[in-house]
Amino acid sequence: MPNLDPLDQQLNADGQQAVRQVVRELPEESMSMAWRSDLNERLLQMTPAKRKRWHLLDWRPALGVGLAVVAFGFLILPNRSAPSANGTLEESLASVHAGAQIEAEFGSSMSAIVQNATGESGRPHSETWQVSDLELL
Amino acid sequence: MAMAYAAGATLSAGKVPEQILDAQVIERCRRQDFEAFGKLIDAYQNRIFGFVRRMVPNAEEAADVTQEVFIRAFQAFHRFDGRCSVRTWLFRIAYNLCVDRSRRADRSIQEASMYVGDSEEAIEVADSRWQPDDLMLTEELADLVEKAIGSMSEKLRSVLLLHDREDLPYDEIAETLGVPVGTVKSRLFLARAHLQNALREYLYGADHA
Repeated sequence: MPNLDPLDQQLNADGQQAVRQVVRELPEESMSMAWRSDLNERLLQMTPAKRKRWHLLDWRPALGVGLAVVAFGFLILPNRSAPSANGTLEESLASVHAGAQIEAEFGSSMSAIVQNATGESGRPHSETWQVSDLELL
Repeated sequence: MAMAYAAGATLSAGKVPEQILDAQVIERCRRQDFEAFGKLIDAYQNRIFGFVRRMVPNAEEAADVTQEVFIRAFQAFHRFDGRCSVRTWLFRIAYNLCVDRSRRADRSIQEASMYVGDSEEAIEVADSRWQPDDLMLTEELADLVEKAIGSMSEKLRSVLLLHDREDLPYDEIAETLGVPVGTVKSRLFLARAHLQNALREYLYGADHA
C-alpha cells in the first residue's frame, strides 16, 4: 500500500468507500423541456441585443454619408426649375436640358464627396473642395 | 420533490460529460456561440441541478438557481481561463450562487447539530463491519440517504456531493470552497461518517442505532 497519511487511510476504509458508492449511485433527475425552453429564451434575449449594437457600429460611417447626401439633395432639388405648363415647347425643352446639366454636375460633385468620405479618393483633402466647385452648382 | 422539473430519473452511470465536449466546443462557447453553449447545457444541466437541488431547500428554487448558473456562465465564458475543467468552473458558480441565496435568505450556513472542525468531532465514526456488498441501492435506501444528506451542514454536504457524487479532485474542491485540501478531506470523512450513522439502523436494525 502506498505511504498515505492517516486521513487518506481512513477515507480509503471499506465503510467510507461503501458510502461513497451509495452517494455515487443516487438517481439523477433530468430537467424538463419546459425548463430548458425557458433557459434558451433567457439566453436568446441576451444574444440579439449584442448583435444589434455591433450591426449599427459596422454601418455607422456609411449611414452618416448617406444621410448627408439625402439632406444635401433635399436642399438642392426644390430650386430646380421644372418645365412650365404655360410656356412653349421650346422653353420646356430648354428648361429640362438645363435641369439635366445641373443634375449631372451635382452628381459628379457628390461622387467626389462620397469618395473623400470613404477614403477611396487619391486626391489630397485640400484639393477636394474648391470655390469653383461651388460655383458650378 | 423535484418532479415538477424533472422529466425522469435515471441511475447515474458515472459518465463524465466533459468527454462529450471537445476543445472546439469550449472555444466556441468563449465566443458566445449559442449552439455550442447548448451542447454544454445538455452535458451538465442534470448534474448541476442534482447538486443545487441538494443544496437549496426546494426544487423550484433549485431550478431557478440552475438556470442562473448557465446564464452566468454564458455571460462570463470569455473569462474562463481553462486552469480548471469546465465542470469544476460550473460547480464553482453553482456553489457560490447557493451560498449567496442562503445568505440572502438569512439562513446563512446551517450548522445543524454538528461541529465541523479539524480537531473536534461530534460524530461517532468507525463501523468496521461495513462492507460495500452490504449496500444495494434500493429506493428506500436512496430516500434515506437523501434525507441524511439534507440533514448535514452545508459545509459537509457540499464536500460530499462534489467529491463522491461529482468526482471533483480534492484540490479543485479546495479552490472552489476556498479552504485547504486537509479541510476538504476532514469534512469528507465527517460527512461519510454522518451517513454511516444514519444508515446503521437501516442495515443492522434498531439495536445498533
